[in-house]
Amino acid sequence: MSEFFSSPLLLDALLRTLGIGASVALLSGMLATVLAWLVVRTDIAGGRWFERWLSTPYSLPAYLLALAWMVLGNPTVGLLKDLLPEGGITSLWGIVFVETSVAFVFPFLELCAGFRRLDPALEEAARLSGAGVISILRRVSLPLLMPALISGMGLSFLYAISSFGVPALLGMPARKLVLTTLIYSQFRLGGPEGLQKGLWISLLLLGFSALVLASLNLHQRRTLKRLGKTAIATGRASRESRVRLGRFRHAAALLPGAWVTLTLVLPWLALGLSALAQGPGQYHLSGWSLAHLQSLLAHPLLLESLINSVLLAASISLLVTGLSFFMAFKEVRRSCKIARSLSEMLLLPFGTPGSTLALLWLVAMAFLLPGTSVPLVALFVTCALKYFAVGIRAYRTAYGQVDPVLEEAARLSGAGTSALLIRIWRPLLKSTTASVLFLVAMPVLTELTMSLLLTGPGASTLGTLLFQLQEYANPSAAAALAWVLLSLALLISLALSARRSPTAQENS
Amino acid sequence: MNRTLKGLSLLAFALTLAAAATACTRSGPEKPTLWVYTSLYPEVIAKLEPRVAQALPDITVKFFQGGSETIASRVNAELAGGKTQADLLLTSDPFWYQDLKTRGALLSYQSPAASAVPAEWQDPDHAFTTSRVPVMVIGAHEKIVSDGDAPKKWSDLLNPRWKGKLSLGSPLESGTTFTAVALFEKAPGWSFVEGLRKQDAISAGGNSAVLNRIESGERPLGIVLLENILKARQKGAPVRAIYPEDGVLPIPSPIAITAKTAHPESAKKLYDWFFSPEVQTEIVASGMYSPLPGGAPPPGGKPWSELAGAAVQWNPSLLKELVASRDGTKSKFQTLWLN
Repeated sequence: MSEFFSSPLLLDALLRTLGIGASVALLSGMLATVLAWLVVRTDIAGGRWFERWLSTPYSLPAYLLALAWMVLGNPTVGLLKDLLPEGGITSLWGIVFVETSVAFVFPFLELCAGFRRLDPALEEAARLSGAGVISILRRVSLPLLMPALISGMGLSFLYAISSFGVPALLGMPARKLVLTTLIYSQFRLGGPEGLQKGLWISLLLLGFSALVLASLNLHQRRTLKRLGKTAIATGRASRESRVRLGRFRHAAALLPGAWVTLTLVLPWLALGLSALAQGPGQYHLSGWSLAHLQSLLAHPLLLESLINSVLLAASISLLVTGLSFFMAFKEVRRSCKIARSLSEMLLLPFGTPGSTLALLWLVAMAFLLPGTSVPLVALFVTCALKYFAVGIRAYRTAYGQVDPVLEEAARLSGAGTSALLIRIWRPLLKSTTASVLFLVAMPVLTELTMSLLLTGPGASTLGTLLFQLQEYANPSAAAALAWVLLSLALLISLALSARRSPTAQENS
Repeated sequence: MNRTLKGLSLLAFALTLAAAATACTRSGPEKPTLWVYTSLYPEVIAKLEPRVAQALPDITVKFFQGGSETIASRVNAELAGGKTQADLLLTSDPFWYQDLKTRGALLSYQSPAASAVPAEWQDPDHAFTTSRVPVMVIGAHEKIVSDGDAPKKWSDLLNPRWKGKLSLGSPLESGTTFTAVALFEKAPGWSFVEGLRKQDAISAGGNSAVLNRIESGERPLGIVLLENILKARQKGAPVRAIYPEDGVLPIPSPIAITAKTAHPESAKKLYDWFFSPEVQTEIVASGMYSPLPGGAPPPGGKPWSELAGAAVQWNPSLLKELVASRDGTKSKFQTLWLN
């Protein structure tokens, strides 16, 4: 065992994992800052639509985007291979790019909510004092939004270092191992010793996650303390002010447009092509048919998978949202130590690979309640644990940044805790709640790694169905399912942005 | 919309809790429930489910389907906790069964139904028996690799003309690929595996990934399970199987009863049933060979009698030897491939 832990293989995988994590976090942070500012704070053409679309990739599991990009960017037969650097999408930058297209949504949504919470009076004051647009962004808005940005980037980092599907699909063919793929190979073929090795490497990964989380928390607390006197949102009605881009309104839309094309339009086209074509690589128009879509619709497990996944996603997102809404309140507004340690512990599973969580659950269940496994309960608990971090971090930032003047007024009028939460905080944090519901429900809907280990009779999910089609039955039908899911996500985004964006209602 | 969403979520939560409660408070089962953890294909299980209910009405059978390696991880984890939920195991990695036997995790059972299975495919202590035989062959893209050019033997894959054209699964992820690599190490020898690396072969994923690379033309030649090729051909994919003259690689895939099963007698009945003609016919229809002599070949496959002569001969001592050198083989492969 000690030989294994001193092997260059492990060190190599560790460095690669950290490198990918850091690159994804940096890229996500930069993109999110520019794009969130453009769509929320300026009168950019189509801003409302872009806000929905930019966060839509998150509703698809990254491994599907990786599958789509394999069709486009495969170094040998990819349709766009000539446009890409050597190695195509199966290179380190390919992994970073595909991970970023999903992980970017964490800082993006936090910043969108942050920009809305930001009291326009502060920017107004800066403008009246003669500051330009860039200078206001750099010297007023961004420092105030730093906690939201850092928190989002932290989640992107953790997401990238614990993600498995993308490095497995894009990294393995190019012989690039990361910690999660190393853990995976230990669990799969290492026997009992492999289980131990896998858990030890998971612990290493967990150590890094804990370190990152601890420094993020420290930073968050310090900044909030520093900014305490300049709470950035008042909760009082105020006019939303947007920077006028004038004749650049349309030109500016090119940037979010390009990102949406790369992360949504191209993958949608690639999956559509795979779903309609006769088979992999046989894209000639004469072979196109709806046969794969029909075989998907006729699949006996489709309905069961759909119901299970929707129920899990709905119940888990509600549970996580409710619990973290309450716990973050206790922690931030009541300085409750128990709530703080509990939520700090619950942040860890987010940085742990799904397969490790699932195996730990199996070990625990076999020890505590042997023979009573209920697959849907197992999935419910492990998924809820994994995504709790998303809720707790978002609410922490939000509670810390809203001026408690309304809460104090309500308290003076005799309101109890539940009245405060329901009548004051719920409407104030509407946009955070919407983003937490979305950020938790979507990955659960298509969760794969934990589901594969914990599924059982009657517990098929969209993730296991996709895998089953991909692995055993019909990869083109799997592409069809992925295509349907992405199309649905796009349609929902379209429908939502046609109405007034509900997340835009905060402060109104 | 908000209210509907809330209602739906609450309902979901209640249903999940109800399911948990039902499972926990279920009173003593009237007939034994047996869990079968298997890597049999989902469509085979779908066909077997109603038949087992008919054949063995006094047993309730539940299947957990997954890849062999997923099942191994799950069982290893459950055993680490004390006891696995599985009563029967049917997966494709013979080495793992040798492991489980050594750890005392399997129940010894000499099944009368399996008595005709050749001795080289049986454990001498009856801890496990081969219940099906998938075989590894060379898969080729029909249009890119013409009949005349096609490799005839494993060693032909090292011809420089196939450089950059080959792929195989990863022996670190897929059990069947690991078995193939371990057998290659015996014959023709490790230099063959080194040759594959020099040919710039892609080694990643499992058999379906290899098939995908053949079908898309990314890597028109691959080391892959016959059943993947046969099924793809049935769907009209431009792929075909090449049976190497120096022998296909059979992967004897075991069945075993777990040592701590609560219902050993029922488990034995179910074990026997897997060797019945109705199950073996379904197994063969899914592209594998039956371990029972004289059976028909899988649809579109060559009869076993044509392959048996050259095929790698298994025996218990070869299995033990390969298990003993398993970690060494894997780390050798890692060093070779990742550097």
